Amino acid sequence: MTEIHKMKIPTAIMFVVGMWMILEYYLPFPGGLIIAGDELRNFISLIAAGSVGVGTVYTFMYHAKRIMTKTETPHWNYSILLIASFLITAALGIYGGREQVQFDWIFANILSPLGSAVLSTTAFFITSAAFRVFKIRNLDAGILLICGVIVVLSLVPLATSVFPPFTPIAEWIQNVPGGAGFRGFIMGSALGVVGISLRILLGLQKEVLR
Amino acid sequence: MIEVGWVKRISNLDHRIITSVLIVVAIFPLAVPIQVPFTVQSYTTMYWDYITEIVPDGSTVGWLNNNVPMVDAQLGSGSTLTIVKLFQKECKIICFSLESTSPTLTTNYLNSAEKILGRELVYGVDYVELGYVPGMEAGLAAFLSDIPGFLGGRDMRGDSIAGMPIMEGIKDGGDMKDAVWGGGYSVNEDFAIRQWQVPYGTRLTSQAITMVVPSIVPYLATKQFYGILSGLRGSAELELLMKEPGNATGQLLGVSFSALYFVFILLLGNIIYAYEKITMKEEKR
Repeated sequence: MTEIHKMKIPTAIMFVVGMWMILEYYLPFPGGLIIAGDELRNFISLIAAGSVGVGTVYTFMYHAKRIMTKTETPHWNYSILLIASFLITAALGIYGGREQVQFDWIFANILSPLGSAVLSTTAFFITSAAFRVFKIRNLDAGILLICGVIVVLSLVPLATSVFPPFTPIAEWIQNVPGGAGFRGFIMGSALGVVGISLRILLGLQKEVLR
Repeated sequence: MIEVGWVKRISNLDHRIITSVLIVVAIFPLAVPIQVPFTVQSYTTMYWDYITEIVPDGSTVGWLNNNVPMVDAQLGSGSTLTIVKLFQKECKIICFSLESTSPTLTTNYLNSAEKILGRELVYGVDYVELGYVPGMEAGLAAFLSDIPGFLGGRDMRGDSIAGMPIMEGIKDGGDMKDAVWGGGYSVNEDFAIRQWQVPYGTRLTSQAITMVVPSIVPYLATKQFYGILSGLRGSAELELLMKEPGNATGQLLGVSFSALYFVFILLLGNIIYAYEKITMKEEKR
């Protein structure tokens, strides 16, 4: 009974819904079935919207628990910061709306700079890692390094003003060998997705339900 | 001849020194600002041609803005100027997003564009904000197949879209013949092609951070995307083309110095590596 509830019924639902979506995309379906397909997609959208709420509640509960069990949790004080920020922003947004000055100020002066700061940290990791790891140990690594340096320098005005051909050479690298490589990557990953999707639809990839 | 002790020291350079120098190099241009001339890349030229020549004057253009606060510094200026250019052509813009934080940025870009244009934009006539479309690719497919139905007849502000002049005749994705795909930081161009460009024949152009550009390049040759506004450099180039120097041009110098430092560190690491290898070979002999 448990096996039927946990595995067979969900697999059957996945198979029917998945095949429906595939066939509807490729074949001229009757109008009624297309409308039903649209309804299914609307349902996915609703679930995604609902998951934002569930995620928010779960995050809140998780950090509240960390604060309550502070003796057992390292760095629990960051959770206070998270909950305080969450409550203040949510309260301002709910009561004042998006147009409210304070809400807008938090977005423009805290969230945006923090987001940019998080993204920019990759530059520090990459620079440090490149110094230690990115060595010309063979011909392939040498070609990769030369291409990488040209592409990086093509984005630097100081370099392109000294040596203007950096830009067309970098564009050629990106369009021709880079583009060809990426096409292969797209096709390879698409075939991989088809394969894994078929396994899921046929119930062979049981991990998705566990 | 370099002392081997020095070579070892450089080879084992502490990562804190590498990153501290990077901070100084990135901040230095802010203290000593200088104007550096730069050329326009072909991707931006294609993007520019698309928004100035291919998009018909006065048409209704879709704008999917997926910029999140993380990429705002790179693409904010380019997004604002794109809006300015489209409004200068008397186009109407229908805005929506697949990211929950993007609608706030959309509003900010529209407000900035209004200031640059120097005229008041009329909501529901010049533009409309349809807000966050949840569900990524499935959500986009559902949205584009029946726009008013998906929205329940209401925009992001809760107003009815039925009486809005801009939404007249907009039923599905095909009613927007042109659109700007602001992909933001994630590789999601395949969504645009599968769910918008192929089923509805909408012409698309794209905005993305520099890291995502290689994933869009294959679609340029097939005309599934017309040009790319690529990251900070693309935004600065658009500022140059529109003769509106702003944040992107200002930040470009800091990024330039950082990139040069990155190349220097990369080459230094390889020179030390080669020197150590040669020394080891000589010692073996």
